Amino acid sequence: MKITSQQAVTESRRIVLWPLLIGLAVLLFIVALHMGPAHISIAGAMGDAWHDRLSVDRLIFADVRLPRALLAALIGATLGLSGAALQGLLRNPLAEPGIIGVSNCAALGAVIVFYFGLARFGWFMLPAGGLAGAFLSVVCIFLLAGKQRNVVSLVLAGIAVNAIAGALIALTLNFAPNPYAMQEIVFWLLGSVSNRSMQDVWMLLPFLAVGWAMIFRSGPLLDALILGEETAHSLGFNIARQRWWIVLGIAASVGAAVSVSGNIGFVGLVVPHVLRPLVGYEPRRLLGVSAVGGAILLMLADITVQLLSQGGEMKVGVVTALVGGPFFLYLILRTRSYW
Amino acid sequence: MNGQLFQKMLARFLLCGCLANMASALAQQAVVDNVQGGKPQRIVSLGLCTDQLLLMMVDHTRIAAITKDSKDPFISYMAAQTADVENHNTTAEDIIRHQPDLVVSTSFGSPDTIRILKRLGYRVEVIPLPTKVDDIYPLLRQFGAWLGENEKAEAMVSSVRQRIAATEATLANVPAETAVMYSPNGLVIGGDTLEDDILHRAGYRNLAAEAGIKFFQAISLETLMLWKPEKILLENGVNNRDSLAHAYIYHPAIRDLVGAGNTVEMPPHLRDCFGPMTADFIAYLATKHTPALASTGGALP
Amino acid sequence: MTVLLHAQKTSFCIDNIDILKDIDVAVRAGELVGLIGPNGAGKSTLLRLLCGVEQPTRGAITWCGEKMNATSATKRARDIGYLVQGARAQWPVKVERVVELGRLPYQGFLSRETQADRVAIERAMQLAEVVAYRNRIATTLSGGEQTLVMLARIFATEPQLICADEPVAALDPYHQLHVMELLRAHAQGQRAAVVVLHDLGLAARFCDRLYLFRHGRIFAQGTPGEVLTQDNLRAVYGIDSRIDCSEEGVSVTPLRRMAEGHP
Repeated sequence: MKITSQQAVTESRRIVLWPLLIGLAVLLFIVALHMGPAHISIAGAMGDAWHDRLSVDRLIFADVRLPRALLAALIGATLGLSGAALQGLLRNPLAEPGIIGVSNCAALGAVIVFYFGLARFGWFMLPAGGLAGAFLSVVCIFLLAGKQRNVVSLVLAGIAVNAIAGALIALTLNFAPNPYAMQEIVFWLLGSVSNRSMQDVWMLLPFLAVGWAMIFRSGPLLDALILGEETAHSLGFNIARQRWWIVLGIAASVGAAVSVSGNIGFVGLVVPHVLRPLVGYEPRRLLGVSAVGGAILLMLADITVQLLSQGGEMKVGVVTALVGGPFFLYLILRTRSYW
Repeated sequence: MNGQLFQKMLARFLLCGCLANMASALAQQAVVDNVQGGKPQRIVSLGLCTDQLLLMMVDHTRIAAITKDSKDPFISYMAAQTADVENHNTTAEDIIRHQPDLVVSTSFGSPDTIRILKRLGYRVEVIPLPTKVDDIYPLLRQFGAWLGENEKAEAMVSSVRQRIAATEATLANVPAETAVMYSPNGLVIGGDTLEDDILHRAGYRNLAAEAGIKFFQAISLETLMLWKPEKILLENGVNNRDSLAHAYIYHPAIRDLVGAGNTVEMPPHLRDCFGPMTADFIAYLATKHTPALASTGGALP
Repeated sequence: MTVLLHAQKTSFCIDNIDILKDIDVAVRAGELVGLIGPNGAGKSTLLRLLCGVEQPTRGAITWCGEKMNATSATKRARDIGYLVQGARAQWPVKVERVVELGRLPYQGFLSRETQADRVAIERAMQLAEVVAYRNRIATTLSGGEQTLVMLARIFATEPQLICADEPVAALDPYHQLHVMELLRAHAQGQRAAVVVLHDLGLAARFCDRLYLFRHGRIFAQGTPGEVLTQDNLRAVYGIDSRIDCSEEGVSVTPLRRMAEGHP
């Protein structure tokens, strides 16, 4: 009797979770479309777009708000997803693209491409720069802390990689030919999705599609890793090869995301951690919900930014860091037992 | 700790004193040597705008040094005529090297450099920035007086005045178009500025000033779009688009709003300073009006 | 009896140091084979080679007449179950979920759990007697219970061969016997099991054949009675012991370390 009722609870939780998350995401997306200094009718704007009528409402909707909301959702999803994948791969709840330095390295790659005019060599150059930076950092992290499930070595490696990448970003911006470059370090270190256009969305999409596919494809491996690497290997998984799939997937998606938004921290830490108990700690099921959860969190943070700063100058990374920083401390305290 | 600090300060004080004595002795000698007929002979300019006025008004042998900026044709109206003039790097130390008998600067020049030069006994003249076109004329005369070139200044004033009047005359029957001057980081230029006056004289209504903005202010892209200007005049002060600040002025929404032909990049070498280039700037903007038929309405209904 | 697994002249080196040298091991259908020997003798390494997790430096291992490294990873994963030493779940997932992971070699990326999967999972849980705590969190169980869960995971894969690395280490006698009985019961018909053991008594009681290892080589092999002699134990472990043969099999009682110390 007891067993069946427990099962029923779990099952009902499974059934409720997805519609709840999707519903929330859709709701926030609609709210995000309504955020902004101009009072426009979204329905009217969509009608104008449908009938191909030119109007200011339509332009504000299509050129300003839609890309911003889409980018918040897509980048949030990427960060949530890659946080979940990294944590599953390293079996370490503190793994997160921002904390272990992947985002900063991606930002460094993007900064080099962006401020030195390399972006003119092709639409893909900017996200590719982010990808290259992210990839290098993940490889570094694996070399420094990949072997053991050790929280301390991971976080310490992250501190080092972050510090180096941050310094190199500052250095690069110093040497950038554009006089505005130095002021923009805040954007790269804290991240923002404001003042972007659909061009950025189109540029991002192929990289995200490939990266997400590679991460999701590795779902079974992440589940097998519940049993440890040796056992996963004995279950027919080629760990050495599939690990590269995940690493490349994270590098492609996070690298591209950061090249558009800068380093938005803590989304990949908070989201998988909050959702993990709701999916029975299963790494593969965590992937999908973390993607939706990440989209929710970043849209929420961006809406908060727009409510708090009417000028739009506050960076969304400030909000995610204010939420995520204390959460990170709490996690450190809680996981201290297995250091 | 305190002892160390005291020693450092003492050393600095002594050093300053020595330098000041030496430099002011040099400066006085320079004044005695070089002033011929009351006209300064070793003039240094601290910034792009005074560089250009100097290049226009005096014989280049009287110019001791100007900034590197004035050699950049993207921002300098006088770039072609700087080959025979030396540069300085805007630090007081480098300027002293030239032993100037007159240092000119706009009120935008480095206050530290100006303060140090004044304390060392150099003659520094600071010209304020105009906030309307009619301010330019007395400023040009003042500048000419410092250089001992009153006639040249007077000639320049009447030429600028005539050219502006000529441009205004061509616009007599052209209806004013609405416009916004949009700069990197989403800044617009509002009322009480030289640019606002220039816009009016070139036959435009400045929507930023009409919205109550004074001087400069960052506005959101959405606000700009709600204003629905017929023309958007883009300011790209540097010859490089690769920054997020520039992403504001090259945002696709701007082209979508006014149509591709209705964004105008303002040439920095005409816009950045005041003087004869102001007349060119007004004339340039006046040529950007949409032909009368289309100017009755904007790109959008 | 058919030879299922056969290692011939197998060596394994790390940095040019031989961990295993010229090993010949055969596992036949219906056999429970024990690998014994002191710490560091190479038993666990051999087990990893036997289940295909590691490749030998020299020599060949064949599985059902086919070279191990030519066997597809999926077939190997379905045929051979590997229980690592001290296996523990690394996320706090439910017991049932851990057992379900045993079906991964049968599932594609998009395929859902089939009837056959479900049957195998239920049977495995019953076999290992973990049905009672199927909904508990695996990481909160006792060591003995967790070992049974991991064994159930292997049963769910329905492998022909089970390779278990010290499955009874740190378990109480009840659970030790339980695990050994399960492995013994598995090694019937066309199935077999290879188990690394430190408990010589259990090895003697349950295994059909034993391989005794010393310094990466096989020192002795045969039935427990043939391998577990006073001379062998003295030479390999450096201990004096009493060996009793009774109707219940061979029992080994270690008595004292020898004066010369560890061989």
